[in-house]
Amino acid sequence: MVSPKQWVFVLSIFTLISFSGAWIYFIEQGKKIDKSIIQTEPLRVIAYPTFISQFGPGPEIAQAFSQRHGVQIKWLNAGEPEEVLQKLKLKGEDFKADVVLGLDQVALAKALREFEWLSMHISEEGLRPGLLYGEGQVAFLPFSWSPLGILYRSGQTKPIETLGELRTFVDQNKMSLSHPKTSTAGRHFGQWIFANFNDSVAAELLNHMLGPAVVTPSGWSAAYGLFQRGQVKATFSYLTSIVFHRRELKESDVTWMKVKEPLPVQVEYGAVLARCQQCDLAKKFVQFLHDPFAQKVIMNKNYMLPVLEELARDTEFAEFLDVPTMNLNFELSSDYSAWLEK
Amino acid sequence: MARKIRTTLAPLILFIILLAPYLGLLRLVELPRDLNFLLWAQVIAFTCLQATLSTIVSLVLGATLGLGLWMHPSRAWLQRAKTGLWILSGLPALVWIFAVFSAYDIFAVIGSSLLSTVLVHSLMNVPLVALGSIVIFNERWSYYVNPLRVLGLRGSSIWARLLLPLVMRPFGLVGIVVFTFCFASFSVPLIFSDDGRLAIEVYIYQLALIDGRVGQALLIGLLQFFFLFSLSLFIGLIPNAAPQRASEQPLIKESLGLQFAAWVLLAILFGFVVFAFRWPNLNEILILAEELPPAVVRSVLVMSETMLFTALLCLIVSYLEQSSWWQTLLRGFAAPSMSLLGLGLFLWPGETEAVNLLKLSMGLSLFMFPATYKWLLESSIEAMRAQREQMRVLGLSGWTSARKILWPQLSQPMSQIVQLAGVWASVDFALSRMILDGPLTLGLLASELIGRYRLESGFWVIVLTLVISLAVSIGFAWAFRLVLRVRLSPIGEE
Repeated sequence: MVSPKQWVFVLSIFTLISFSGAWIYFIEQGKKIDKSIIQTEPLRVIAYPTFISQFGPGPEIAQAFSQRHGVQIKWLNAGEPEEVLQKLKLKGEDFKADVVLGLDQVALAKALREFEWLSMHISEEGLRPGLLYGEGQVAFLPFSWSPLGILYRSGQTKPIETLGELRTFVDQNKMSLSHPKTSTAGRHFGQWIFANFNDSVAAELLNHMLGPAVVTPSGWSAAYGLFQRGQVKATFSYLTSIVFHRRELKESDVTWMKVKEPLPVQVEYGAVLARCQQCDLAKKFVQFLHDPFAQKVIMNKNYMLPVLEELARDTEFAEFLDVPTMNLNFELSSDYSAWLEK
Repeated sequence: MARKIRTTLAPLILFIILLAPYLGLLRLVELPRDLNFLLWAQVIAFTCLQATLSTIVSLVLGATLGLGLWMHPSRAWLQRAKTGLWILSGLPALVWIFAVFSAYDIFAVIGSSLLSTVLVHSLMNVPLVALGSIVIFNERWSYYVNPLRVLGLRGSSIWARLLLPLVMRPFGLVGIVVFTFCFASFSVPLIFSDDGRLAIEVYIYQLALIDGRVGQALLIGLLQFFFLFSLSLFIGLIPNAAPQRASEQPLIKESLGLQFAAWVLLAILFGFVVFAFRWPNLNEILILAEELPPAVVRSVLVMSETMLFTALLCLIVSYLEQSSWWQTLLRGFAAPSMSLLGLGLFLWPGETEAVNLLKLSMGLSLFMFPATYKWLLESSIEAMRAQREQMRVLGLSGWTSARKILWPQLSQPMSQIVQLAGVWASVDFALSRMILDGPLTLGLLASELIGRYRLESGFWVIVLTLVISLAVSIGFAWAFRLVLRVRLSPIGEE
């Protein structure tokens, strides 16, 4: 019989070993860094969690940029775009950051209204047309995009052919959708519905979708996780997620409903805050996102289409390049905004 | 003069410490605009509904479990069951959240936000209510039950006229405490708000950090604070009759059905954890090899700082002279708003990782301390009132009497509070999410994985977190108790 004191002893030894292991790991990692080329002050970059996690494109891009420019990247995770802007606003100058990554096209107008950003030159050569917000010197650099649609597993449910059938579909099949108020994907869904129905019908359909008919977690990853684990028959997500299923999960039955209405698009932008401390490096970092290396990393690790679309031509992502999509809207319609307010 | 400091100035300083995180919010005070009273009403109605249902389920199941165990003939078994209940009640919210997610996954069902929230709240509270019930039955019924049996008095009228009225009031108090906890819950509704229905804390968080309506968030937070403050004060106002007798003797064993129900309930509670915690492939944690070591270090730091800060709070509170006004204030402070606490601390100056971890630790200890104080320490401090008087009469200084007499006696509840704070801090994700702007702690990592439905990886992170947190917190609490008992007493060694 092990006495409590022996337990305490064993647990303390375990803690000591855990601590020592962690510190040895840190020291070993530290030795690998060439400190002579690294500036003491890091470049502070705000991005969303999946971008900066070890599975996302962030670490690889940061490493390549660090080697090229001798600056460390410090990732700051501040949540979804709306939350990022709000935290920047609340904290003011105390929130030290140079770069913001992951703003979608709808957040840009608000971002311009509330903060000052540095303009930079962006080469339009090879860039997918229609993604730039403004002309000439612009503040926001698009770095990835994807059409969004309703994903399902072929053979498990009958896909809809038009959005008019959506209500009946969700009444008969469990579907997940990230909430329009708290996630960018959900917000694009709402915009899609408002673009294709008159306001009262759109509002009524969205209200129905937010009722018991559809599971609406606050974030995209939770909504998508439900589909991934087979708990819902369909989900509203990025079409490029299909490549993730084929590559990582070896599933070939996941596809999207080819409705007659053009699909909404989400574009991700990067920008440099005017209150940056390392402004030149910050601009270089944002522009580095258009480097073919960074674009490929974003495509393969973030499962989004590169804005230099030729890079996707001969890959599994090519089939999404020519999907009929809606024109890019940089503002939400007033009726949709009013619905969101309610 | 020294007494004046202990009775007036020191409590005031302590209360300022408790309120300090909220000071940053003052600069955000603005006139609320576009008040959406309809949405407010919906949010309050949903919060009241989930808190009421959680309370009813917790009380019914917890009291049944407690009664069945209390009736068990073997005191040794009762002690073992109580130990089990203590372990279950110390499990943090994230473990129960994971268990519920995992159960849904096994049965391929999706729970509504109401069902999921009530389920997790009930799982968290049933062990605590059961423990409280055993104490209540001991205190209120022991005195009467054996004479009633000897006299051969049985039947529903005895229950309705004598036994139930005896426990109605204490159970009412327990119910109010559970309701307060569920009403102000943030982390559980934050994870489960998946059908558009928002609990009040999540709504405050969304208003402040997503919609940018800080004025409204503060107003609702203030209303919530006063509501819960009044509720907590109400608990204090209810006269609590002194217990007739506390006995650990075996008493009635009439209802085998209740005993059976209790063991089934206990098995369900443990089964929920064990069954949900299937043992997935170890490879699932190996893919997190790069993220885990720094997360472990940060979590251990947060735990240690939280325990240190909680230990200081325990020492200060027990040192203070018990005066009615500050006890009332502390009693009313039972459930601070976590979303406003997080926002307040987020607005505090300082942006380095070390400062952020410190802010998080302070926030966690301030959030957990009022509840654990009421649960584990308040009655012990109250029971030493007479001793304090004696010490004063004997001419002992406040510092000496605290160091040599009070703290050694309070070492057990204080170390329990410190240990609980450590375990709960290790798996926090709600406050961490608001304050930390980048580095992941184990709790954040686990919640992100669960949120992404990577349950297998999430499982291993939770297991690792619990093992580390138990090791560190047991070690810390043991050292704390040792210092209080060995280094500070007895009085003759000075």
